[in-house]
Amino acid sequence: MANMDALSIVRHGDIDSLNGFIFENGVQHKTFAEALMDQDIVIPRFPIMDANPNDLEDWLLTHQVEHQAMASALNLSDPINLLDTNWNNEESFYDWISTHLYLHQQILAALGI
Amino acid sequence: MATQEQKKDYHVTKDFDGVNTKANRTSIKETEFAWLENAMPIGHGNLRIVPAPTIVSGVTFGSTVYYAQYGDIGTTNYYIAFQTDGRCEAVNVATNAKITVAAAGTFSSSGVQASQWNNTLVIIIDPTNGYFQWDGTNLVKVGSLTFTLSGTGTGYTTATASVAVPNQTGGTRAVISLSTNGTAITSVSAYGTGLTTGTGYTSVPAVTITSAGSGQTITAAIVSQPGTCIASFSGRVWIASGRTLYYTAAGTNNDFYSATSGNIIFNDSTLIGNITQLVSANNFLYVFGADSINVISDVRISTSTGTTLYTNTNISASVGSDQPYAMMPYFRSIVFMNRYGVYALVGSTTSKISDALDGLFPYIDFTKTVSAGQVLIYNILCAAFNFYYTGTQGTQGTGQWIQAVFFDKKWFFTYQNAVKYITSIPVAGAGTMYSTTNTDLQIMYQSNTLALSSKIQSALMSMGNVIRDKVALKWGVEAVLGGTLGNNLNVTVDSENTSATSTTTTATNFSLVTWVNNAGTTVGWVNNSIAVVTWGNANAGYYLYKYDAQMWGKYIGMTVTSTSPNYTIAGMQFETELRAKF
Repeated sequence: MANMDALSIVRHGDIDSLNGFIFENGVQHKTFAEALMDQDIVIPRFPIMDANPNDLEDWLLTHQVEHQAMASALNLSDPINLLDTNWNNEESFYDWISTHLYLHQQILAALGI
Repeated sequence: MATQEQKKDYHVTKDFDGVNTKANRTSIKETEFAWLENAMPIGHGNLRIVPAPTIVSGVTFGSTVYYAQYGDIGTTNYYIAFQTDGRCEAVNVATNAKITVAAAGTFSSSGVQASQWNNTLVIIIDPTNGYFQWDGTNLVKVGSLTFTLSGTGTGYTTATASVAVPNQTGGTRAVISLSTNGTAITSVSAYGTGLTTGTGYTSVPAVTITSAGSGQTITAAIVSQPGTCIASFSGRVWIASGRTLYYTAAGTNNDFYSATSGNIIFNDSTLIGNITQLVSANNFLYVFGADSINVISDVRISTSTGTTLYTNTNISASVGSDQPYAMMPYFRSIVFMNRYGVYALVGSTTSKISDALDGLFPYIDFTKTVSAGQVLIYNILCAAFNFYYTGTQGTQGTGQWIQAVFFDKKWFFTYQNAVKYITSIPVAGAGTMYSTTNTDLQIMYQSNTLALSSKIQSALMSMGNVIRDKVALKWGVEAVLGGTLGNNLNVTVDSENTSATSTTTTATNFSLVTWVNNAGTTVGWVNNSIAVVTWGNANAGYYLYKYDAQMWGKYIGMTVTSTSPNYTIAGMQFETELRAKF
């Protein structure tokens, strides 16, 4: 069962909270990838369950690649560019979090999880 | 007229960062060190001498150890030593009992690697001799079988067959089943309930059809698997050979033939040369090349085709390593060393963590093995890399084996004898570092009573005023002594003009008096409780070592060397006077 709370209650500027978010997000991506594999669909997978909170550019990029692949595999509309964000800005961060949460809910619904 | 006393300045360093070899000694932070050997910068006022190694008594290997690996059979932990004459011996780390895994000539003299399957097998790959398994008793060369049916059969209403036993002790006899159409045998299978392709075959066994009928024969062929790297991941054994990564069938450690086994050929240009190492961690199998890293994940069986599905993703096309023994999981990252640095792979981000060692890397001899392991030192989990250093900064003067140790974003060095290979073994759940200098076995960072050479060389400090010369009048070293063993510190005050050669003093306020009788024999003393009595100022605790300095320059620093164990430097002090500008 996906823990959507962890994807939504992450606090801006809180490293521990961010690490919890990154881990839960990684777990959900793994679940999505495995559900797709059960349909013989293989998507690119990166180690996104961990990240250096002080250097998130690679994480944002690889995370975006996975979302694009999942959207394509599930015939969802192209995901919003999750790279186009500034997490140092609180408002931008929370916008990203809510957009991302919606994408996960969309994928869960498409996969029937 | 009385002469006015020159104003004196006092400088104290108590914050201790790690070593920094990247910049000149005058250009590093005053909290950093130009050299730091066998002293661990734990924290504020806490620069502690690391424990010395202890030799495991009674263990002498038959030949030079070039590679060693941790092995876990049941609840027994082994140090498994692969040697240059091709033999392999294992030491039970609880009892120190040594047993022979393989006689001389069994394995290649270099390039063997091993890993772990469950807690039942040590899996071994030899670049020439192939794949082996050791169960704590028997070493078996994995040679499973495939079967070919030939001829035109008649009279086979039913059919069974038996396969001869494997020629290696500890091997598993193959069991096959036959299908017939009432006249001829139509197929041979070694897969299914009660069936197996066997292990331990190095010569082709006879296959005997035990039913009535004639005209058909079954022949066996041996499937072996050479390679250079091995890992267990996702319930399978993975073996790299050249640019190909082979994997066993689901849930097996020796089946390279049935439908769910397979291989991945790395044709992409991101892999330059061959696969150099496999590391299984964090739900991923990391596939290292000299300049690249791929990850394999999500290994599953297709519900429609029955074949294996997986993802194979390149996460670095510029950084990898050609040092196969210099990679390990550390916390939730993978740390590895290559010819130009040490890197941490956190998630998909590769970050260099060895900037402070940039000045050291030109002095590493990469013709000698670089090895790595994690170890607890004073309850701090550290990552250690062992290599041969050709420079002259160390305690041994002209080149030495050395360990670069990392924790909490700090580096320091240790020298624990001429260690050629290090291996981390969890003993009672704690990361313990075993090592060998040739044919011996030692445990590193164990003794706080054995003598250990240490060298602590501070930054050359401007003390807040680079422009003016300064005269160092006195130095002080705050030390906390851990035992009544005698702690002599040799302190050299240095400047940019006379680097560590000008003034040498020895603090001896912790020396013990040795009594010698007129026959030249040392006399021991005991009190009326039969406790050994020492003579001298031998109490543990805080000491301030101090002496006249006699050094001048724009930059002042100190070098502390010692062979004393188990003391902590809590601070470094100088009394100085300012002199001329420029």
